[in-house]
Amino acid sequence: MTLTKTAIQCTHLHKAFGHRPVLQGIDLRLESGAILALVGPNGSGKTTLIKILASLITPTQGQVSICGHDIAEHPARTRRMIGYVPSEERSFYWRLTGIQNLVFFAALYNIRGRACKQRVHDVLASVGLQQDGARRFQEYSAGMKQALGIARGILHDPPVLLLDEPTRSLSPDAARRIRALIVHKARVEEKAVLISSHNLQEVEALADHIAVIHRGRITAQGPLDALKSLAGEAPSADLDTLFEYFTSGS
Amino acid sequence: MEADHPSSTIYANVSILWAFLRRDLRNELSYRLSFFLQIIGIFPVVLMFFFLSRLVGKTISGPLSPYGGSYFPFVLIGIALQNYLTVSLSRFSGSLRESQLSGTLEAVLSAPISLPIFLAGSTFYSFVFNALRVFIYLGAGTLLFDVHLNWVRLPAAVGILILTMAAFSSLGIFASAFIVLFKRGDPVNWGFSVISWLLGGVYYPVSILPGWLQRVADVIPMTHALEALRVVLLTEGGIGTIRWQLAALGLWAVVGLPISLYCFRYALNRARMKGTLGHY
Repeated sequence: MTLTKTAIQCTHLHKAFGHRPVLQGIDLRLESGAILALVGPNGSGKTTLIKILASLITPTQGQVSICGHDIAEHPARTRRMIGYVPSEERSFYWRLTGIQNLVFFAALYNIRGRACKQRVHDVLASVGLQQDGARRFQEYSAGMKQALGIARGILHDPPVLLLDEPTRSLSPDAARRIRALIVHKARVEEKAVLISSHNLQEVEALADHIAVIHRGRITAQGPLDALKSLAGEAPSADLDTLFEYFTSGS
Repeated sequence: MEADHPSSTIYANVSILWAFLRRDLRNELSYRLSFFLQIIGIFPVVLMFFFLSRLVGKTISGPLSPYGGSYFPFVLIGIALQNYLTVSLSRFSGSLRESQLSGTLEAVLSAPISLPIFLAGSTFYSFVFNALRVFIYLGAGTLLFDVHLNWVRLPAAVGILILTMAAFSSLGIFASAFIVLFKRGDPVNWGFSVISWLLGGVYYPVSILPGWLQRVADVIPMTHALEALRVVLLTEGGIGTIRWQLAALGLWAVVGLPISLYCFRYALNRARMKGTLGHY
């Protein structure tokens, strides 16, 4: 029973590009219905970790399982369980419309026909693009492109969402909508959400658990209150203070 | 799960191929002028070879006698197939390169799609569109320049085209492996294109080459594809006449495809290891 509840499990994960270590001994666990935020300075290894979970990068050492399935042994099965939202906006076909893009990606997940049409309509509405689906992707603003990436991530209704800086290019109201969507996905639909962000206020508002990653190592992990007591900070301390504390060491 | 049942797996894969085809067709049609020029561009080429054939006249009718003795029908089939293979083959690496540049490669490969379906889907449009172009070449020759082709043997010609596509796909997939690893530079396509138009019998019959080059030509799939297509469309020779050509193309497909798929899988795994899948 516990196994089915664990959505993401990383055990002693290492990654090096050549002789340069990028991730060192990452142990991570995320349950269904929970939101885990990865925070850390630029180049700390957040995106590499997310790409390993999305099976786009192979770890040098260690084990990763998604909903109980090892990603090395069952890559296709685990990909079906993941909704990956990359941080960069250039991951669509620019001459196609938003709807045409989503219909194409839906086919890769075996969603077609009437179900596809309905699903595309629903996800566009959930990210606030219902009026813009017929426009070409190249006409979208940076925020709309980001929103379409999120729509694609939830298109096949996966149990695990990997969101790499999902609100980076969004206006405050669009970011608020996406945050509400993330909370809904976790709390109501019981999805496991792993999010990386530089927006510490957003992390504080969203995450059940926070993992601070610095130079490829997780320097602290747990609920915000646990991080505060770990750092010896007062309950009133904010995440900026904790971030400073956990990423200042060499 | 639905996709685990063989029939639904086939249906799912066909749906994916169809999605790729629609994606690429929509993309191509969005560049209307380019799409139009790709069709119109056929006619000046056909016209040029028509005039060239008048210059050549009957001077090489001896070596051409197995194909009816006339140069224009001979070269028309040659340029149509050469164009088909060059453009279609370059699509394997070209489409991969475009995916790297547009950032869609990682998005597609993070989906549960099998490698052969990904490769077939990425080039499906190109093979279909360029097969149509072959028949526009041949149709232009027939309608505008009174070339006599055995059109009743069209199904056999389509069959040869499909077998040729399978044989050449191994080279295209192998070339894609280079693009995944080295991002730019495609020595496989370049090398085989040059060897094919030089030795494969595109512009002149292989029989006029020196003996040792003829033996090199025997290894190239283009030689066999052209021979088979010319026999079917220009002569009355039966399928038995081209059994060796079909066997050679089949051998290329049966041996080449698994090897090239293995190489491509290796290249992808290397890129995943190095973290360079989306790099360009």
